[in-house]
Amino acid sequence: MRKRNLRMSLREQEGGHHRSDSEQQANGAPRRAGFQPIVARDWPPGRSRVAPGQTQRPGESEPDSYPALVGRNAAGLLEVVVETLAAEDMGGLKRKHSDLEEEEEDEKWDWTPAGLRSYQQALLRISLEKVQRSLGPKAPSLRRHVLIHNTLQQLQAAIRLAPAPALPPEPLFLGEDDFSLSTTIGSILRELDTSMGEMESPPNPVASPSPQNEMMPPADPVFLEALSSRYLGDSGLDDFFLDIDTSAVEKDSALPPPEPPRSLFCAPGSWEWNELDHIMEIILGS
Amino acid sequence: DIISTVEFNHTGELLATGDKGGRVVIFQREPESKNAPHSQGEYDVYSTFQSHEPEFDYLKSLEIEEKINKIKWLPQQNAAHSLLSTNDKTIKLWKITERDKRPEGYNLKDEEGKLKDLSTVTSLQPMDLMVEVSPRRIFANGHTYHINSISVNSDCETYMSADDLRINLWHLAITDRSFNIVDIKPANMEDLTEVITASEFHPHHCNLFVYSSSKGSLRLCDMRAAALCDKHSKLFEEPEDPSNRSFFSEIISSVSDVKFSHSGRYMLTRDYLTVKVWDLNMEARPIETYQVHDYLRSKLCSLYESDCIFDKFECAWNGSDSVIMTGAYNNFFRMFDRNTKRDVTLEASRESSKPRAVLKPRRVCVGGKRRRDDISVDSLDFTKKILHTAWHPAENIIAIAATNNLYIFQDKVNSDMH
Repeated sequence: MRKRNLRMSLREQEGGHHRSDSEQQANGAPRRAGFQPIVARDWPPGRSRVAPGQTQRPGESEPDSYPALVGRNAAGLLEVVVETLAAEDMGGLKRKHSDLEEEEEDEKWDWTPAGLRSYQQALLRISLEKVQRSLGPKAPSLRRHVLIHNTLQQLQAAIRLAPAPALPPEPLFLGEDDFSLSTTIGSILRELDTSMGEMESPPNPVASPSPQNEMMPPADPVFLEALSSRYLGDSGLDDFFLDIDTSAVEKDSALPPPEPPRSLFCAPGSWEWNELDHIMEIILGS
Repeated sequence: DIISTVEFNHTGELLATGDKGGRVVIFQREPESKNAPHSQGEYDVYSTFQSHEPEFDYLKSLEIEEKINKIKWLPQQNAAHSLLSTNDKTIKLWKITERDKRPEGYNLKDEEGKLKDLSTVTSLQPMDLMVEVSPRRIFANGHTYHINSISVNSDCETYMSADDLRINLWHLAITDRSFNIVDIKPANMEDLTEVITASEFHPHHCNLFVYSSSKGSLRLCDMRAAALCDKHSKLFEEPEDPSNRSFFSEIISSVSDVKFSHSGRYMLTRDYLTVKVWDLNMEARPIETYQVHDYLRSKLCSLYESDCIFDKFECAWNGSDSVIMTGAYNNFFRMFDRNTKRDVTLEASRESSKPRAVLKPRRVCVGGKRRRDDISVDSLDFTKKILHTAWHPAENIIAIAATNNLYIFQDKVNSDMH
């Protein structure tokens, strides 16, 4: 089905290869129709920055790159000279030729159970890296988090269904008891929620990791704490707030007042961040 | 700086753009005049102002970006123009006015020392045109999550703003309160599986609006039915194609933009690989589906790894609802003619925007026969993405934002819609 659609659109392109589409619609009109550039600007277009409330003459701040008009051609169409300015270098981010990419091509992909499992594990690894990377000074994208979470749940379900491979995989994926992904990511979502400022009165039992526990096993609460500590600073202080009745502060109206400070006590990203690196190294078995 | 939104006003005379630095730049179309025939149809800079500044939320230790997510024009009601601009948290109403006269004359006595007739002391004299911009309203503290859409109601009195989990209704004159009309936040955040991705008011019926979700569904809501529109009036959802199922099915079904047609009869949605036209009277499936770049379907894993799979492309109708347009990668953008079923791929770049040149159709080849100017899928530049496009409401003029470049193209031969 897919191939058929592609061929169809190719045929369309073939038909219009020498002429533009709209010219065909014009029934063989002699003029060359189609979209022409009339303006092309780099960003920002003006040199001066006008503060709100101030006035600015229109056209005053235009740089010299304003297109100069050359004149009409024979067909009566306006011509525009576009001064080319070098576009910002985006860093030349070309497609990575990771192992995964090569494995993706249908001809080469080996869909044996072992191959499938390795694909799933690679996806898991990528997803976890994404979750870790999304912790930063900027507020995270909830949409991205939810989509990654849902994908992880599918992966988890698929791994559960798939038979265990003969060779032991990376320690990370040894049995779901050691490493409950959905719980982890779900907890991260919850921590995200509290960091965004919503006060939830009922504390989920899974939400209270043993804050003083820095030991590795079980990986779940420590991993959770390490990942979420970026938001809450010292998540150990959560316990102090669990007893406080926050219903008075609970807000369903559209204008929530500022919530009580939770992260004022700790400097975010100090020892917790180093701890996170350490933990991730151990988990990923690097 | 990177352009983050592009929007024509209702007449197409003005084009507003917002960028990542919180700036808004408004372009104005030069009127055709006999004195300067070469400037016919040109868009010049009309006004530039700083709409939003970066903020830091000290309580949550989070930065609030100044990037302008959306700009929407208000219908013009007097000589002034007004627009709403929003970043992740705050919406602002800006008023743009022109001043071309100034009062002059303050001397009570004339040159000979005689007292002037008081009514002739001061008069309005013409001056060079000045464009003044001032913030008239600031709608703050309405959203906990990131605002992704704003939409002005056809009643010209209210507008809505949507974040990931909630939609609020505001009155344009009232900034200290807003009315929550949609709330999909679950009681337990661990149960969150779906977020709101875009929303828009119906162009004619002031009680109807639509919002899209990350799971690919559209919900049409009627504000007359209930104060809280959590229950939809209509749910538009296409059943999943089992043959195309993968781990990424949900991500690529996430709707990144929804736009009502000008007629109000249809909706246009954009997901990662397709644009779809929906008839408001049919919820079961879209009436038309167009493949934007189906050749990416086998590359989804690496696009997931590079985060490109999360890119949010916008879509646009032309004025007569006969052609739809959306952006893609490699600075390509696509147009689909709904009547003839023809589609074209065009490129927005300095090299292809030569003077006298009509944009040449481009082609991505997937293997098999490769022609001279074809681009192969593997050499597509995924950093060059066209996320924001806009179509003039009445003419064949389009504005394309290619990262940090703005392109305006015009079809001069077919300038009228058909």
